Amino acid sequence: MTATAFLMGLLALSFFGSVLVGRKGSGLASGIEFVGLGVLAGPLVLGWIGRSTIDSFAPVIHVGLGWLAFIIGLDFGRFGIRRTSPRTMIVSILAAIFTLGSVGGVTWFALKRFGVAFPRPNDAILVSVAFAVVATETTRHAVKWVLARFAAHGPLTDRFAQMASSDDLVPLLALLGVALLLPDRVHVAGFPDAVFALATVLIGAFFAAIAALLLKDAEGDEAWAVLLGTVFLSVGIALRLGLATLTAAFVFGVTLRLLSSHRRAIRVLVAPTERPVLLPMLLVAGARLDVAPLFSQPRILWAIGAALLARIVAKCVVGMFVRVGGKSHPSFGAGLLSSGALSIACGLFVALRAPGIVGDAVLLFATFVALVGEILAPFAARRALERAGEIVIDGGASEGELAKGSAS
Amino acid sequence: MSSVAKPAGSKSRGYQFIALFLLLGLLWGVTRIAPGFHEGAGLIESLGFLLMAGALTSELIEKLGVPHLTGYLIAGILAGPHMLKLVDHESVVQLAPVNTLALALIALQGGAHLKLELLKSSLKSVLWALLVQSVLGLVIMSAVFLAAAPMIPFLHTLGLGPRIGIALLWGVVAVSRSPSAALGILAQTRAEGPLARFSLAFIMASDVVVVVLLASILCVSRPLIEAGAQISSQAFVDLGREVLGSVSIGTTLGLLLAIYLRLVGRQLLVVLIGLGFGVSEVLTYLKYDPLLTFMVAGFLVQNMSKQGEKLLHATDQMGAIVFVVFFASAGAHLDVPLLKVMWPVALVLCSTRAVCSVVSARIASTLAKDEAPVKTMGWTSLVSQAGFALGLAQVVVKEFPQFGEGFRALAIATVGINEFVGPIVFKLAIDRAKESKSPSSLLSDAEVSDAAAESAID
Repeated sequence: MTATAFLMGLLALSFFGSVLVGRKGSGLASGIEFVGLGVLAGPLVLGWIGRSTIDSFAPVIHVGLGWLAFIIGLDFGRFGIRRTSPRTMIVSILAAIFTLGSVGGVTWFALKRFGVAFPRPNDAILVSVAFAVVATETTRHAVKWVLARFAAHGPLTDRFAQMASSDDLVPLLALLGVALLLPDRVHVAGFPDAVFALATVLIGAFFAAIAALLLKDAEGDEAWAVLLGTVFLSVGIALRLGLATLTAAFVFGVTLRLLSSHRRAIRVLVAPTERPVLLPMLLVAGARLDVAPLFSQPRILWAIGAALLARIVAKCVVGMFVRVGGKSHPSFGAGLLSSGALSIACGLFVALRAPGIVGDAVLLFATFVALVGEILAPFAARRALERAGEIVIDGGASEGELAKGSAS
Repeated sequence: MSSVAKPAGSKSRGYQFIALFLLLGLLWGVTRIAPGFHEGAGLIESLGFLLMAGALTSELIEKLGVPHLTGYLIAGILAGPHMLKLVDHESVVQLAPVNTLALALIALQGGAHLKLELLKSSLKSVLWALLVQSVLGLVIMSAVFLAAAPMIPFLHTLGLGPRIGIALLWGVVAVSRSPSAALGILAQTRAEGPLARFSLAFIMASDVVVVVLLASILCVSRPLIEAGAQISSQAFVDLGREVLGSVSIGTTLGLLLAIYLRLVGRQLLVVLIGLGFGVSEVLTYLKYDPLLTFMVAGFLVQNMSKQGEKLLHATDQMGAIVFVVFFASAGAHLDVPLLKVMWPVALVLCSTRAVCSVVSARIASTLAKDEAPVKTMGWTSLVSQAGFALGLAQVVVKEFPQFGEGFRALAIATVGINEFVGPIVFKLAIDRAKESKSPSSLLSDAEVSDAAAESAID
């Protein structure tokens, strides 16, 4: 497939995905169907999209992933127009750290136990941390999906929404560690790893500060030039230094929301771009999936299985400890299993930066995480919300609920 | 609801200056720490930097009455591979798809700006201007080129016949204008009035005339340049096919676009990007003219449907980004060392072209009995040259490789000067004619709509 044909395909998907599938509550919460479409069009099945075509679009993909991370940053700690309470934010961050640690630890142990050999000595740690990063997220889209489908409302729904919108901080900060372990990172004599990790955060914060300053008096359509320019620069510079582009963009989003007096307007401008960017990225992730390098180390599949299991257990444990209205809700933890945009974005980021067995394993794991989450989470979430009396069966969401639930 | 943006004060200018300085410093430092690392990074940084630097520079020099477009060019030249090397040559080449998109958008926007009543009202002026500018421009500029032959290295070994042939080709390049520059200024100033109307109608129509003129001159000049070659009508057949084909596809595209705008009307930016890339690619493959096709499509949407304003709004929004990148990358692309070598002859050709444009405009305006602003300042939009002129030079390179490279180098040098001077002259004229308007603030508009949505929820 030529580059132009590929680009047209992505644009068509972006268009049809947004116009036809983009209605609230339609499609799957994780967007895994678009990953499936990518797998179908990619080298694994039809071979329409080759690895070289995707690689030639790497800058576009990095920008797309960065833009998604920026939007996540803008929405961090908020669900629609509602803010997450500090207590819930701390709980969700602790829960995310628990999931991250559990999955990372189990993966590392499984890789050692099954004797998986990697080309570089650091790769086992890299895979463990990357699996942990990919496993941590609970997608905000799952909550929107439940809200739109079942018109859920009540304290448990609120907790569900608030936790999903506040746990992204942990995987995106952990991605700093992944970037430091990547084979293509820049080494500068006299600069320790901590400086590079800090540089990622500073790049995002610096450009956000510049953007906030310039947006104060932005005239006409200049706001777009400032927003795009600063996001591109933070992603481009982070990429040049071999840093975590997604983290830089996420920090950019969070900082811009904190500093800009136009924060609400920026969210209004940017929110409609999320879906047109997200869907092509999911398709690219599917098309980039390659299991062939994993056949050289089939035992890595056991490690993937172990990590998946660890994720399920970790989320269920979290669910047991979260109490709403003085009660714990057993299905709540399984409801948090839903993952999507961020997991797959992190998986694709690692796949692009560490091609070969490491990147392929991480992207495959991200896909499995989204798939398993899609199978288990909606049912579990629905069950928990039904038991809590927060779902009206066969009811549609009221306009007010939908408006509140959507990201403005 | 549209809120008018407050003009930026000196404090804001200070912030903008500091921001620009910091960006330059940071990018300079980073490109030195990790040069050539991560292929895609250069392209992403370049795009971001050109957007930011273009927007900031244009704001900073706005106080001088200089158009934004010139700011984008300055930013591109400074950051480009010949000056600070913050944007490398490879990244400039990789930005070519943005130029394809920009040209498609410019043509679509240009066509959509051409309202039938506007055309009717300025038809007489435009026709006289087309006739006088094309004939006088072609003759005078060919003669000047011929007279300047001793200063032009690649003509030294050629006889009189080939020199006349090449001079005629130069005449065609000289009568070409810049739709992108005119639209860039009109988009920035949101100008409305006789001068803006005339400039838009003339420049869009002159594009078509120049395309036809080039085909004709190619037929005439070939026997003069190549010994044994004869005048062939094939070029006219090809031209007829190209023009008719482009108009037909443009009509179809315009109809489809009007139907889409009427029935769906969503995700217009995605649709326009798709059209810009996809249709341009198909048209180039079929050897049709994308500029003419998109212009016809825009014209049709504006005049045969009620969707013109919707289309204009979408193209204006996208143009705000695409124009910055287009002109900033054009600045980065500017061959400064070549300009250093060729500036004396380029300056002679540019200044005579400007004088010729002024005289021709005066004659045409007198014949058409134009209104005062058009009569006195109608020539100001004709000075700019950009991608279209370089495209014509590229055709000459393809047709006559024996001297084409030298011809193109000279074209690049003159276009470089006209590209820089032209927009400034046109913007000053628009301001002097009091046809500019204040821009609205996008963020304020978004805030108003967000507050409305929130109050609806509460």
